[in-house]
Amino acid sequence: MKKNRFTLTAAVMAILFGGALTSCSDDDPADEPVTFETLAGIYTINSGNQGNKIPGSITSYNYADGTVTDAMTDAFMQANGIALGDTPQQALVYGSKMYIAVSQSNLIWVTDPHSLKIIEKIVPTGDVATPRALTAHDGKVYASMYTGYVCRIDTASLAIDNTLKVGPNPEELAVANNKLYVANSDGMNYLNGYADCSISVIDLPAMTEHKIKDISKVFNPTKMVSNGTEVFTICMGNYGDVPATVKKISGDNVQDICAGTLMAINGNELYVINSPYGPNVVPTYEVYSTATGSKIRDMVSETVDSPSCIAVDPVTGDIVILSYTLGSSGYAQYSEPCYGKIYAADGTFRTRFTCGVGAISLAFIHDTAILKN
Amino acid sequence: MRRAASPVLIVCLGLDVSAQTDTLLRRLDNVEVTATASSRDVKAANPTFTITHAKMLSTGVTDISDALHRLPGLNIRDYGGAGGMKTVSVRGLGATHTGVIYDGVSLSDCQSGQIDLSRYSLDNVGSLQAVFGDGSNIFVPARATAAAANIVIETHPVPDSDDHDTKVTAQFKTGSWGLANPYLSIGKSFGGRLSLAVTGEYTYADNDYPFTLRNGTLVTRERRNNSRINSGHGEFNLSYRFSSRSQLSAKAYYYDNDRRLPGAVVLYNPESRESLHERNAFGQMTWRLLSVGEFSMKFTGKFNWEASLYHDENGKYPGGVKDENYWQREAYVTGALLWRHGDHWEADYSADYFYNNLTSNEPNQNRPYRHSILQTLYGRYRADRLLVTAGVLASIYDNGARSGETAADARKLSPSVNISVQPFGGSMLFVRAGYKNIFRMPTFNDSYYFRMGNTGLKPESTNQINLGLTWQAPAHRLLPSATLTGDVYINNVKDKIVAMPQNMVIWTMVNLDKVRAFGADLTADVALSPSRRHTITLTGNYSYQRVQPRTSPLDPDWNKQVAYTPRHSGAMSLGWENPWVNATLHAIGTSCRYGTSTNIPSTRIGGYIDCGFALYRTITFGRNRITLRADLLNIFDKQYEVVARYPMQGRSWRATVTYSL
Repeated sequence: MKKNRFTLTAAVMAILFGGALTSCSDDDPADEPVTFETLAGIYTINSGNQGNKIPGSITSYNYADGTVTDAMTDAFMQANGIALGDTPQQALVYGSKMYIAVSQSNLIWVTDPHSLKIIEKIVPTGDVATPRALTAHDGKVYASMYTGYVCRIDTASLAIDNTLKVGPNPEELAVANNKLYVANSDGMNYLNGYADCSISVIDLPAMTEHKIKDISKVFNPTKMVSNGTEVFTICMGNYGDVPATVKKISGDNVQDICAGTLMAINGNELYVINSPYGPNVVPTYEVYSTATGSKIRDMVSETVDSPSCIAVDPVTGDIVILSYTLGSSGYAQYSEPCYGKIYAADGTFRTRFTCGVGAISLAFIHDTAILKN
Repeated sequence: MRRAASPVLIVCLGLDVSAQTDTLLRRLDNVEVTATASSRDVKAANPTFTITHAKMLSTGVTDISDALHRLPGLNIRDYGGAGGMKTVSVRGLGATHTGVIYDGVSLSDCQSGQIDLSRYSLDNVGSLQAVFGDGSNIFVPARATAAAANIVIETHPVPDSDDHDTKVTAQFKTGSWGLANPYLSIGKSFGGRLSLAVTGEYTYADNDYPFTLRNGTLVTRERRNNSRINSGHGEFNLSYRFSSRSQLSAKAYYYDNDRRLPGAVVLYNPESRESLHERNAFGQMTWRLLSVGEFSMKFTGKFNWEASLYHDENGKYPGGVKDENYWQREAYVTGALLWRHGDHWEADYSADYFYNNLTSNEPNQNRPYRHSILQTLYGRYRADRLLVTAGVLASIYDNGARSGETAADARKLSPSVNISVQPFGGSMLFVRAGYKNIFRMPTFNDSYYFRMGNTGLKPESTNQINLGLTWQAPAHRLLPSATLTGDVYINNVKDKIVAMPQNMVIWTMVNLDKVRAFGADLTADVALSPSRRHTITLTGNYSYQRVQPRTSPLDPDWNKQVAYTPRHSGAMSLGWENPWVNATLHAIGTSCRYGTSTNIPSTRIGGYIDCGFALYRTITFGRNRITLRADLLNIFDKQYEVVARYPMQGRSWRATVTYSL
């Protein structure tokens, strides 16, 4: 077995579908080298299928030669000899480590991003449970817990060092201007119309919180992305008469941008897929300006069947979209392997690869060439 | 068999009969029905497999799940443990096509369409039968023909005037993981007209049994968590004979099971706080009037109430608690009129009406209800070596809901025909063939479940074709009984109701899939008597099932094997009855299965053989009988799963003492 999944040298840039873009700095010495980064590979986080008892897995795609682990093979299992767990949700590469939130198994793996070897297993305790999403800022990793908490993980001790109660069923989170934004979906309260949903705004590093809570503005928020200064959320609506909408959060103001169900951010560009539910709907793939909120261009030259994730690599600008396959009846097949399509920054289709069952997020892994200062 | 000219007896012979009418008829004309269950199964024109209480003892059957495994063609979903849910599907048709008839009256679950058979403890069961297609007895409610197959449960009959005045059975069972199971049944006959019987049982078990978890290269010994069951069941039975032809029987039934649910094994996270409290009460009354001229009739009324109270505690729920409570009710009346003309011809008209409704604690519930009117017209011709039954079921289902959309109504005609031929007069060899077309209505979950339900669903239809050969050996001193049966079949399902995703959150029920099943069921039941005081019994059943999704060749599941369906499954038992201690060695087994119909390798569930051993002895003094029984289950401690992530018990023991008077 190869020790490293991707050839690489030292530090790693981090991004993850919607996660905060951060520089590597937590455990590096102050003497900063000048680095060149290249995209080494992609890990898709495959949630498996809870109903059919298909465990979660990771598919690894190597950018240099296009090799990909077999869709039925779990790269995590290959590296560690044990399973990733049930219903993994997200992975975040930060500093020299990768953090993987596995919600049903109630743990966060800390691994080497290249070899995928386990470094630590972080298990929340008591009422704090079910990790969903991750982001990082200033030497700390923040994890949302579906039972209504945000945990702060110290990247040196690899332990939870602070826990804050937020709203019910928090999903994604993102940091901008030293504030952590958390999408409290209230998703389990669907019988009462997500009545307690909100967005938590948490001052860092003080960890003091207030909420944006106005159901006419914020309704069932789940996605959250930031480019460091601007924050966008997707309110999923009620899967009925209230459609999924991309919104920009400026201070405590919330402003509609466009209809959308999936998004990614890269610099001042917001990548939005709108794939609403219902008959005879043609999904749209568009790029918006983060500053003006207006459409800049169409995103890609060819689309996918049933998109489950979009991510944009901050180094190359490459776009990756994951998708379910469709059965003959036109329904997505949630127990079958998914696939990913890779596009150049201008939207030109490059290649397609197969990944595991329930691929819902991905992480970019970078090689770094260091130029000594 | 004795011959007599009494018209009642002729009816009796003509009916030839399910066990339920046996008792009555035996009482009505004091004729002992000498035909054994297995010889009736051999003569049946449709596949019928019976296991009696006595047979359960001699073949070492331990519980309802084990009993069902001893019947061919069944696929049992078993979530493990004494309290685990157990549902049965027949010959690739899906559990919602299997009906369950309890003491002559159909049980129903309008919410899920599946009956959990773990409720019915064997202590109270006189016989258990699997009937595929329509049985040879046509004097039944219309509803008995509305399922593709029926599991027929007959409890012990109330004592009649032939028996002693008072009949008592007291039993206590204990075993691994804190099992305590007392059972008491008292029956009394008052002057030959009135008989009463009261039955009660209670089961407690911790059930937190150990299992082996394989996680990649890591093998650990774990324990199930949160599995306690606390279950009780009581029945009151009454029988009153107005005359030799007229009898009233009634039953009041109550079941209560407050069980915790260990849930599926989740990697790295053993936490479970789910519980399910189920309560079921019903009362039913039947009046039979037999052989008034050429006519017999019976009428039954039933009211059923059922509560399913699910509770979970987890910080992810609003308020940290989730309570899903459902209540369903059924009012049911049925009447059957049988006309018997001469020795050969019989015709039956049956009409059933039932009303079901479902309520819940959901704020936006639809409160659905359904009126069902079923009528059957069946004919039967019986000659010396020929038995033909044919008929048609006319179904009318009218749906309603107090709020929201209403599910589609349905009107259908469903034909059925069964033929059995005895080609050689001197030999008990029978050739049988049958066809049945039937459907199942969408359940209330299918139609109304929050977001998922689809009120536009059509019924899910099935066609069954069966061809079989049965043989009973002539009795011989060394070979007192031997029967062999073999059936092959082709079943088709169309408009199968399946859940399809609209997105990651929203799924919808749709009529989509087609399934084709073909297979074979073989059974053998042999008794050898090498000397007067020794009997060796050998029983076995084997089923081959090829159940293929046939929706589209473009789909990845095309022609693969439907989830949770083994290609090979079977059971066997070897018993030795002797003057000292009777012994039985038994085994059930299946080949590998997949958790998905596309047969994804990571969802493969390995095959298994589970062996058990039983010793029992009955001591008689005067009218008192004491039976002592010891069971060793899963002798080789085989770790296996029936449903993925629900590990079954390893090696365990059970001890039973039964006193009867």
